[in-house]
Amino acid sequence: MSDQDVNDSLEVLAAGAKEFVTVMVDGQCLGIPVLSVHDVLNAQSITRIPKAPPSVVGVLNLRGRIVTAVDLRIHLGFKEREEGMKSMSVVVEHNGDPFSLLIDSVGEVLALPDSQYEKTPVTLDERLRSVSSGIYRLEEGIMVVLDVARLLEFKVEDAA
Amino acid sequence: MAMDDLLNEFLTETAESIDVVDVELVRLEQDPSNKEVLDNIFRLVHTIKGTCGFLGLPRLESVAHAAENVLGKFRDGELEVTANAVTVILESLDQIKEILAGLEANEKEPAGDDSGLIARLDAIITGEEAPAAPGKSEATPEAAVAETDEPPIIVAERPEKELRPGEVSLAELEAAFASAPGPEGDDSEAGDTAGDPAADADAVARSNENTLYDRCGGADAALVVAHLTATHVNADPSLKAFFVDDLKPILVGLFTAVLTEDLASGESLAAAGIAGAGFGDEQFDLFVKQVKIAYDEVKIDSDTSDEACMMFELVREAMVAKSASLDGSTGAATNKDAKKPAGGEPSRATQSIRVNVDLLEDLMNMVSELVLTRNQLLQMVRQHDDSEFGVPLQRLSQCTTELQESIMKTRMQPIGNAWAKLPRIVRDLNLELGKKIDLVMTGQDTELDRQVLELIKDPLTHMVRNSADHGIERPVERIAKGKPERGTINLDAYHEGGHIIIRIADDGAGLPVAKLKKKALEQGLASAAELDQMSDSQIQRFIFHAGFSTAKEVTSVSGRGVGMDVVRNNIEKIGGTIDLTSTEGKGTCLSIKIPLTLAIVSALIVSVSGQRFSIPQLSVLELVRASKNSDHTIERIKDTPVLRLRDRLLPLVYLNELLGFQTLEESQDQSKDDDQFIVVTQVGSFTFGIVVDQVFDTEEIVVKPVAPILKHLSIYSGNTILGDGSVIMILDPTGIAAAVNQTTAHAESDQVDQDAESDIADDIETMLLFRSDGETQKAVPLAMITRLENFEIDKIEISDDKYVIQYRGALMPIVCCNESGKLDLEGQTRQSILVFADGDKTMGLAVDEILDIVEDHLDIEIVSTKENLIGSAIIAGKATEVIDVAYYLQKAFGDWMRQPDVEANAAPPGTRLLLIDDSSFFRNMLKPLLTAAGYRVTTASAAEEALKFRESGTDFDVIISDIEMPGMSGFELAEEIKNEGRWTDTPLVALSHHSSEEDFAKGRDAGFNDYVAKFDREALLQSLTQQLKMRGDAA
Repeated sequence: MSDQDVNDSLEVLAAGAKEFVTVMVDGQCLGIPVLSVHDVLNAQSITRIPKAPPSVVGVLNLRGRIVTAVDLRIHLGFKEREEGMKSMSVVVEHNGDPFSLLIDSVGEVLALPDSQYEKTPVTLDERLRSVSSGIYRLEEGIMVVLDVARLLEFKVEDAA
Repeated sequence: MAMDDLLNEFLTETAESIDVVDVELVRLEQDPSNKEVLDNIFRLVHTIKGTCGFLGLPRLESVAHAAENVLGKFRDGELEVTANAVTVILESLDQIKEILAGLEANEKEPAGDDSGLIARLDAIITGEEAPAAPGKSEATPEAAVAETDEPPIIVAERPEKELRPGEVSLAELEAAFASAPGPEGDDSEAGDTAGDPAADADAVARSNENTLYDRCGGADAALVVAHLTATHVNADPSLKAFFVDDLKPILVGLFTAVLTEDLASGESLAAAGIAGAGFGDEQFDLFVKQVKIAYDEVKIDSDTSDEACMMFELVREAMVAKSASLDGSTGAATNKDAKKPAGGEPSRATQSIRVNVDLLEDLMNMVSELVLTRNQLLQMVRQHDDSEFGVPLQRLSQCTTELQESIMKTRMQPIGNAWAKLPRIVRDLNLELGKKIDLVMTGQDTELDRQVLELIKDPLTHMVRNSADHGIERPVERIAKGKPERGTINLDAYHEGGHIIIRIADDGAGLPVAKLKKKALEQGLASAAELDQMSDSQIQRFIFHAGFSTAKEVTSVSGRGVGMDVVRNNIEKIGGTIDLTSTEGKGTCLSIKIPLTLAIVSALIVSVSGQRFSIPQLSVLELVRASKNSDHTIERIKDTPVLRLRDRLLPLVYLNELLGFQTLEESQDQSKDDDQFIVVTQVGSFTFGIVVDQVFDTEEIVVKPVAPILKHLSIYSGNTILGDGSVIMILDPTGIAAAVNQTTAHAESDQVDQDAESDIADDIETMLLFRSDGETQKAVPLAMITRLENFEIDKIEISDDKYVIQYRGALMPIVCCNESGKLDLEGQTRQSILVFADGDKTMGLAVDEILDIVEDHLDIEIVSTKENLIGSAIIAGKATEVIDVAYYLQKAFGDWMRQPDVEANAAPPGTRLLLIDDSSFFRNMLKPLLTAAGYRVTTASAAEEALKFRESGTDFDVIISDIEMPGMSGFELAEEIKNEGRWTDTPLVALSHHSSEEDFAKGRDAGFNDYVAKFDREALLQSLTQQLKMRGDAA
């Protein structure tokens, strides 16, 4: 876990609440800690990388920086995106490298009290569970918190 | 200047000085009489010591001081420069480095005890009489004075007595310091300390409390006097203009520095205080007068204040020089200006400033971005024909290019920087291993990008270590082998194209092939059969495999777990290649080829399946367009696509297939219909073609690394943003080559090896199989064939009753391979032709059908009686007639050569023959003939290559050599062979186009046993049997 993440969690303890950006992937609501989100982008032109792992859909140019795009649908084992389906990106950073997480749409920024927090249920799909640091009960459903570090860490092992 | 800054500056400067001293000391050891080197070392160590004192670093100071004393003795000729002494000084430098490292980490000196080291240094001074005791009292009078922790007393007194103000230069002071421990020095010291007749040791102790600095009142007084002086100076209109406004803090430092004889700091502070031009000797005297007044005001006694004022003479030059050069240059630069001439160094105007490396990196990045943006703009403007932006953009573009070049230059550093530590390493190895090795370095000034420099530093060190440890033998062994006692490691660097070539050559033992074979076998890297087929150089390349070390035991020197595999990886990582040539018993030569810079490269943009990729231009040799109607078409040998390019067959890889866009079949189908481009690419010595759909232009790109999750994709070396803003992947030719040919090591076995290799491997021959005249399979060595052509029938004409075709602007005779000698033109539209060429003679051989290309043993089982055949052999499982190309050549040209009678001149089976000819055509033509005559033929394409066989201990029964060869000629080769070595008795037959009596005589003089005209094959065979017979008779 990077220092950044430690700081994030400390902040939660102090405030008793944590802020998340909610995103939708194949109908599932996912939460990304707001402090780790650098950018939210509309669909970008992405350069495909042949031979790359399936979930790494390519690279894109974000204001002069090369960002690696990871499709969360594929990465987390959801249904694959259909032709012509809209997508958006959330840019996060991991070990100093920028990554663009491809999702269906971005919801809102929610400040959630710790009281709504629960551990990830053990029965959750293994792929999602391995990259999640817990869930929040929302009125309109369940939000799964993504642990960005683990999400992209897992990638390295996957690739190696 | 804050303390931190001072400390940082000190650390940087000292680290540099120490590196220089390292190198210089080794030079000194080799050439103890070199006064200049010694002076330089002394000066550097002295500066280190002085600065330590100023910054309050007692540990460093004491070590540097003790080392300086020894150096002082060297300089005065009182001590001889011995290996032992130098070792101890080097050790103290290491100690200093260690303390510096601690200092850097914690901003204070690490705790530790240096008394042992200091004692050893002192012991050297006293002629090793008192080695154990570090105590100063035991030292001889000379040493005791030299050991004084605060030498200013001695230094200060001498000028006071002997010199007028203004006459003291730094060099003189240093000399005075060094020569102080004479009887005169002792006297003066005794006199100064109020007639105290105590022993010298006591004087030392006293001087510790009684330095000039202390006698002037220490830190408190310095503060007050500085304040007073500053006030006086500011009040004096004739002085005020020359000094900076806020003079006091500088003066505080200056007083402290001067009174503690810290020249470096004193000078720089003094210079920093000067702000106006015109400050001359007169003004300096006025300034000193103000200082004297200030001292008198604080009631320091007159003698002491005089002495203090005298010390200011040390900074006179610095202040005057600074004022004279007041043109905006920094204080530090001026300081150097002033110091260098004073130190007796050749004066060199210092036009340089120190810049933080991070800043340069930032600049480089910014420029890279600028280049990208420029490219983007250019692209946009290009789309509008007469844009008003055109002209200014042109200028912007030009400026950007120049800026980029300049910034690149700032990153260039001489490679000597990476070598600086090597003399020391080799020296230490000499002592440790009991070897005698000279390190000869040339081309130190060759510059390359500092990023690259950093990356090759360790591999280089490792390789030199290897050479010294494993390569060069012990003196005894060397003498036994008849080599000079001292081994030499040559380090050489030079530019070639966009690359820098670094060669590390030693005249050591070379790589033991037998041992490597055994090891390769043990490690399962190759089977015994494979090893047998490999050339020596291929086997030697095994050292690049992981876990391969030839040293019998692991010494502390090498074998630290880093092998040549790591070296190779590191070098390949930066786009470089490493090659190795080694001759057992003669030495090893490693050559590294690396790009000058990694930051910005020129790249070729290509596309497949509508997606663009870039290929670094450096590895692209040429572009070939392949289409149905052009000279070049992509052909297939079984399923492998190849391209015939001039006289070579090029393996091809479809980028579409490699990247998974298409299957191989789809790619090949596509290449039948569409034009395709082939990017001929070279990696090391492996050349191959990458088939792409389209080629765009080239663009300057900034290579950015790919995300870590993509690092495992070896086909990419990075990615970049193009002028149009899109991201593009950069293909890595090395990775592609590896993907094409998993055993890259094999692929690297260059063309030079090819002949030798295939022959050593017991006649594995690449043969072209074809059919003509019925079903019988016929074969001809592929290497003889220059081109395969497929002409339309109506292009073939008849002239002088012979078939000819207009081919490449000339008439080429066509000979039919079939019995009738007539072309079967009916019902055919096209005719397959094998083109043979030697020099300007070209001949086409018409055949019915080309079947395949195979690699097989060429084992002539039945020698033919037909003159157009050499014989029959089993190739690819079928009885095959091996045709005699010479027969057809004769048919085409009549006089070319006569048919030999093979059977009459058959050699005893198993007769080993070495054929040396630079023309592969002749080699390939003679080889089947000689094979048919019963010889086991080995070929070499050059005299040098042939000599390698001799060195590797291969014997032959007879040797045939061409005379006219590039490099070593046949005559020279004959002389060399007859002169010494294992081949002196082997019969030598010369082959030459010239066959005059004169030539024959010349050949015989050179040592050839016989001389045969090149095309007279019968005479050759006769000569061979005759020579063998004579030899047999003699034996």
